[in-house]
Amino acid sequence: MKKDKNEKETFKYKELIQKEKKAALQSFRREDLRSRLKQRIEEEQRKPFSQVFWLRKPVIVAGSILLLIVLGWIMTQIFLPTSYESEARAIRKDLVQAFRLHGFIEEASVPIQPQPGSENLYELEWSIKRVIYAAQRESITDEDIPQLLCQALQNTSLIQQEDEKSPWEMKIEKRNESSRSESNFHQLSS
Amino acid sequence: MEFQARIDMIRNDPHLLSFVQDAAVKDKTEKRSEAFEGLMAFQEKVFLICLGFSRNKTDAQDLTQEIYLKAYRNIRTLKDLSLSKLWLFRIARNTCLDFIKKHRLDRLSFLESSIELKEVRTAESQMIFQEQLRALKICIQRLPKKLRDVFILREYGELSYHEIAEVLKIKEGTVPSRLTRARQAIMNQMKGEKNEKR
Repeated sequence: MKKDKNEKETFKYKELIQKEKKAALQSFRREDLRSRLKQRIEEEQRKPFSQVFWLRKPVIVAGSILLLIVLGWIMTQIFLPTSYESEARAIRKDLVQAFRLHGFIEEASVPIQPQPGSENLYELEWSIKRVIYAAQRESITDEDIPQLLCQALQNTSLIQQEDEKSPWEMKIEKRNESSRSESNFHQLSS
Repeated sequence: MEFQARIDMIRNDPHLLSFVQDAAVKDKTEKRSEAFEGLMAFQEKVFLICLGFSRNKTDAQDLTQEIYLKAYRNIRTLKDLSLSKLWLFRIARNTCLDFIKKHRLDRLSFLESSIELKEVRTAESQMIFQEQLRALKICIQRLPKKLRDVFILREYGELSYHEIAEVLKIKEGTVPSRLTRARQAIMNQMKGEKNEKR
């Protein structure tokens, strides 16, 4: 009984499909697929070569890869740091290996803290500058320059000693010192 | 030896070589166009497969045209021309699946059904037929993908078990079992629809 019912149901949907197929085929036969297909193929063949060429998959893929490479190169040029840092690192490495200056470089890389008495260095710098200036202006021979520099160094060491003296003593000594150095200059220049 | 001598003669003569090459290309092209002509014999089968997968005959017609266009474009990639029939059915099935995916037919109910029966004269019987067809189409679309493909290829395309197995790349023995399950599922669903209406 159940089997009969199932068969009846199967027959029913099969009949439905057959009817649908029959009706659809009738209208399909009326439409000429061959001529429509021919028309579409001709249309496709008439398309300009460039249009078809640029729409090809390998062309699109190759184009995208090329574009990505160019973009990547531009990005690296813009955003990546210059080779300066790597060069500096390489120089430093070479220096360390060549001169065993590792400790010195390490110290130098630490930010400089102002030490007490560093103003003497400033004074020394200006003394040297004065000597060079005088050497340019006056006609001083090369042999005199070391002597003058020695004088400047001496002056700086004297300033260091003055730090321990009273302001009154310092004033007198400074005056004497300046007159002494001036007379030295005049002697040398003459 | 004689054959080898001929080959050498062709190789040594550039004019003869180009002539032979042209002839080979021509022969290949002719064979391809012959194969494509042979595929045109299956247009009704392809159309019916499309009808099974799509909503109506208009969609099926468009799909058939699309399938043949694809076949025309790619027939040069086909190595074994004797398998062109199965290759065409595979294209048909894949194109239909793409169509379903694109138009989200899984989620749509088949409200649009433009099949009209000429033999049915009264408007009432026409309406009943449309309603039953709509219900059947919904049932088919609700089937699991594996069962649906086998069902459509068999019931609409009328392909043999061997052909179905080749198209779907499954074992031939799997086809009848899937078909039985699909038929059973369709009947159950149609019964369910009937009960809902009552």
